[in-house]
Amino acid sequence: MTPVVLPGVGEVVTFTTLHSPPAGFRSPLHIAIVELEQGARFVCHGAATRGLKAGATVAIEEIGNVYYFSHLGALDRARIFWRRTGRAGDRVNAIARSLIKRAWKGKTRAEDN
Amino acid sequence: MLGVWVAGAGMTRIGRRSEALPDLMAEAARAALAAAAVEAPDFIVVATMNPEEFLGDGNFASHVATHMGFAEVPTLRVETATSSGAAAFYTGFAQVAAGLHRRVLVVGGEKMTHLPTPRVSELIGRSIDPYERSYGATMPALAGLIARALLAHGVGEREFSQVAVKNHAHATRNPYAHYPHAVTLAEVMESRMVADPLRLLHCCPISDGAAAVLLTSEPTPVRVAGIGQGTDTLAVRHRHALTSFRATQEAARVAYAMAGFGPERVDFAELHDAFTPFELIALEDTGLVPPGKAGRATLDGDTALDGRLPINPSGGLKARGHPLAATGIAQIVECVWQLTGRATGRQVEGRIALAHSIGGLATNNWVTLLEAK
Repeated sequence: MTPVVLPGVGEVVTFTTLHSPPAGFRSPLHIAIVELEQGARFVCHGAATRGLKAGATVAIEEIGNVYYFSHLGALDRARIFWRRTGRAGDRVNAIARSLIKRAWKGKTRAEDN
Repeated sequence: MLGVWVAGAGMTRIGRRSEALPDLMAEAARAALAAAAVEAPDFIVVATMNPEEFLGDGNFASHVATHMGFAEVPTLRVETATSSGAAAFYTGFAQVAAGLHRRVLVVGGEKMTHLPTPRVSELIGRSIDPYERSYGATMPALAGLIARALLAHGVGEREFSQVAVKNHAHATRNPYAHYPHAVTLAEVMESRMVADPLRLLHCCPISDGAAAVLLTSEPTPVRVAGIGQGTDTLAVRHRHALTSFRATQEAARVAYAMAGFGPERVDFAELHDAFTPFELIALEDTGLVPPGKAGRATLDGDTALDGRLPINPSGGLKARGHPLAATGIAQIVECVWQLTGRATGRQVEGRIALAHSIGGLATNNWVTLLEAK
């Protein structure tokens, strides 16, 4: 087996917030299964699952042999996004889609509050 | 393979019980033997998931056999986590089918309510993949991950809440049930959050109890038509799908193949609803309803006692209760009582019954088909 280095970004497969975690864990305990681009799946802890959705892109990092997921900042997302989309035309289309999605999300969030 | 029939079935009332586990198991066994009019079995199969840690007792097959006065009857214990009862039933079935024994007593039970809930949760959680456990994953947590995946798949919280409403309604008619009271949809959907999106009333209770059947090579009114086992990875994160259980699909495939008929002949079923979304998954995995239709069927009342396909007439794990290793056998007891017209107050019509039991987080599942003469 050859070790491979994977980028610390993945997609949320599913997640939960446990309100009565076992001894030794803080309550509430946020747990997610995150899939990296190459298909490897990790169980991760996180600071919050509020606003999280299955399919969302999150950053994952290892601290003391425990994996943590976190929401990506706008700048991080833009950077990943730029790297992923290839041709200039695709980029423009994807940016437009992303903006529409963001506007729509903003609207539903306002309704929630 | 020889034919296998159920000669007798019995169980204790499920709930918070003060008796010791061997007493509860003896009570269920005596009821099954009496119903079969058999004084002593040739062989005993015992199911308990974890008496070593729940009770501090080991060598439980001999412990129970001796307690029942059957110290000289050969006995063994079977364990596949929360489906141990169904696994014990399979073992008894195989003994009779192989012609090794003619009258096999299968008895399962568990006692848990004397321990604090966090301790029970920890002990049940031992059946989870150690890596996932190291992140604090408990059974409710993994079920929460599955339920969240279902929501992303288009199943609504209302649909799995309705399962709780229906199964509690069924349990009000079952004198053996742990929670024989009705709950409303609002009560379920407003109950305390346990593992988002699972709430308290989406989860089965912690129960004590025992159940038993006597299997025989001589024809009786209820034949074991088919039985199948299915398995999957211990780690939930390595599953191909989170909105269905491969272990159930495979168990069902094997059971239908043995029976020589398909899901269209099943009249009613007892499904493993330890967490109510699991009933919806099982409905589809066993082929009883088409993929994607379990929620609709539940909201439409198809799976209610007076519906087209009654599911969990006993109240299920949700409301009859879930004394781990008793459950797989208690499901079969309910099916036998229904098939022989002895389910007073909750009687459904039908000749073919299906029982479905989940071991661990769907790592070792069973489907059993029973046919009335």
